[in-house]
Amino acid sequence: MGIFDKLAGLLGLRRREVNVLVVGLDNSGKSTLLNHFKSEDSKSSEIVPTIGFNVEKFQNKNVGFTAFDMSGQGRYRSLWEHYYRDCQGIIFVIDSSDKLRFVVAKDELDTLLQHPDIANRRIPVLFFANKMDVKEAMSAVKISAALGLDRISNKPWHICASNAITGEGLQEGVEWLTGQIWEYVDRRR
Amino acid sequence: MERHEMWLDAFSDTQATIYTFPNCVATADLAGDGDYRLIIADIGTGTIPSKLKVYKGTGLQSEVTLQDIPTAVAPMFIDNDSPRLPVITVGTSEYIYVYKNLRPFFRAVLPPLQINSVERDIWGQYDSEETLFELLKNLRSQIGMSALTLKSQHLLTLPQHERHSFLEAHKGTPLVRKNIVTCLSTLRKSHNEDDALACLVIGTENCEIFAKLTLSDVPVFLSTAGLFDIDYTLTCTTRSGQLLIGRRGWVSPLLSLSKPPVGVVCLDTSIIVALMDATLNCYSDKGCRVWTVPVVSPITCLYRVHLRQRNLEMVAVGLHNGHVSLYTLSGECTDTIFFNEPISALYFGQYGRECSSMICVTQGGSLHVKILKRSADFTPELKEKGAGAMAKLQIPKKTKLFVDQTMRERENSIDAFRMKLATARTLVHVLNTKQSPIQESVKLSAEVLGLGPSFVVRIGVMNIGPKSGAGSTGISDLALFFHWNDKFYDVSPPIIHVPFLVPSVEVKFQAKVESINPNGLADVIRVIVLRKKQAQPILVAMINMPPSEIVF
Repeated sequence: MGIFDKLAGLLGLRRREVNVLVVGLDNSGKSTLLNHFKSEDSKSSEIVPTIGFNVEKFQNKNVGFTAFDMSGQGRYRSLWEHYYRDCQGIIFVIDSSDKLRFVVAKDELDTLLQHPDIANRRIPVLFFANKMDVKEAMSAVKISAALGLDRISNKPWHICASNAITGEGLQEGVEWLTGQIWEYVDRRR
Repeated sequence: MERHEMWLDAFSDTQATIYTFPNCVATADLAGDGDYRLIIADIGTGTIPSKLKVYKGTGLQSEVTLQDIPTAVAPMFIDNDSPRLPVITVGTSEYIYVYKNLRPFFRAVLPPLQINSVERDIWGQYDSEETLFELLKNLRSQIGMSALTLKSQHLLTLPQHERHSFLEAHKGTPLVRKNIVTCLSTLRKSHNEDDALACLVIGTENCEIFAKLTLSDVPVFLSTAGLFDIDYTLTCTTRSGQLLIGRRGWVSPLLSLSKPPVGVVCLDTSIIVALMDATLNCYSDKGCRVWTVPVVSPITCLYRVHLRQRNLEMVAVGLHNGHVSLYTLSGECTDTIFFNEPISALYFGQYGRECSSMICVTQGGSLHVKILKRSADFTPELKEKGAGAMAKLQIPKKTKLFVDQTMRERENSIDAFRMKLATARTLVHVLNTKQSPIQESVKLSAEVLGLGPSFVVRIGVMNIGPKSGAGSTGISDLALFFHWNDKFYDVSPPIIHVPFLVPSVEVKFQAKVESINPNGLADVIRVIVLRKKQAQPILVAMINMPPSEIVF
């Protein structure tokens, strides 16, 4: 990469557009999480279960994110795989209070990671252990153990506890993702 | 062939100490937040009282102590309030307890039963214990134990030396015959939705089902389908092993089962019954046995598995050896889950937010929750079938009848073959000369135009054979022939020749009908479809003519 590119990057002149896929089980808080990144006037006050998927755009440090907010309901989960090919990052949202369905989340994650469009790419995966404010919530460490994240060897991943309603932890996670995407994009040049 | 595991182990608690029956497990959206809770009526042990336990996710949310041993729980909606909160109904002895928000809401008592007048007289007039005992014993032999009051039943079972103290202790207590709930089920009232109003169907010890049906025996398993206001079917099995089917206002025995039943599932057109001899049987709603499948171990419970997203119906069978097998409605085993203890109760439905969860309680008191994988595949195990074909066939011993028949065939072989030949020849003859009407796939439609006395009858003839492919053929040499009463009508032309009929194309013909009856009375005209040079008609249609206008 040339010196001009680097300079332009440092000066904030260069802009990137990336697609990220936001997946996770139903009621884990994907739409609420993305709602937090919207501008004040376009925020929706009430979040309803997503049907199919929604597309949201937000920006972080010169990276324009196009987020595909996929529906997490069982009958729509088969849609996820159609978007794997065109995404540069994955955000996986977990409801940390729903202990019963960790196995389901793990199953979906395993299916995702084994998909041919994902398996051989070094695509960054960001996990949000959402709903950390709920009383029965499990810690991020326990969740990463429950989901077996330590087995993911060929992809950079990061887990952070979050609260999508107040926005706690979201910025940290997205900053990590931005950094990873820059690295990923630069390496591919 | 390696099979993928279809179930995810969501949660297991081996220390749950739940002792329950198949009808005492249910799930419902108790808080109205879409998070379904698990409701288990625990019968307790001797020392621990019966409890209603409610699980949320992986933990016990609350417990309510019950007054008596529960027989069944049924969550249901009884009002139209919003947010939609269901109540839990629990049947225990003669009461139906209704819990709302996990608090006792109200209690309904089944009406007490009538006491036999003779029994009342005996209790009113007895002078000594011996005579009382003897009289009651006689009465028991006449009307049966179950028709006596609780007090008499108790007395009759006591040994002689305890009778006196029993009578002293219960001197003033009135005679009552309680009606005991034996099974519960719900039936949606007028809408077939998850949160629609429902009503309770109660089976009692007195051989009755509320909504007002009287049975010949005590119902033990009850299963319902349909809507109360429109049409419904209830299936129940009785203690003596009868399978009954009930519809609005009537109930009739469908058949007698060979062994006592251990579970029944009522589906739209079929009934699946698990019997005590470790077989699973499927009956049609007319009472014919469709299939019987033996299972490896005695069946303990049976539950309907309905996968709404895939529109798939199955039944889950809990076995005494700790297996839970899934069977399709054609009797094929698709999957087996293994547990290490006998199964005491099974439930399949939404739990938490997962709509296909299997809840399993074992006899050791542990609770297991399994979630069906999204990728689960329920095509029947072909491997098993292959193994079955390889196994040695069980050929029954030759009976005397069989041996005699073989001998006879050997001795009269020529005659037997002649007879067979004659039969075959006759069949060929019948086929050649009098072709049965089914072979020609011709459809006839007729309409009558006009008010009279002149009518036009328009007849459409169509070849409804397959449009394309091997079976597709045209039909030729047909004719329409009219047959009418000449006192009423005059038809022209009386015979119409039908051209070559191509499949799926309707050809229309017209015939003029003149009413010649002075009073304009109506009659029937027959249209007969004939094949030329063949006596047997292919199709006959009757046209009911309208009364004719009268010309003055």
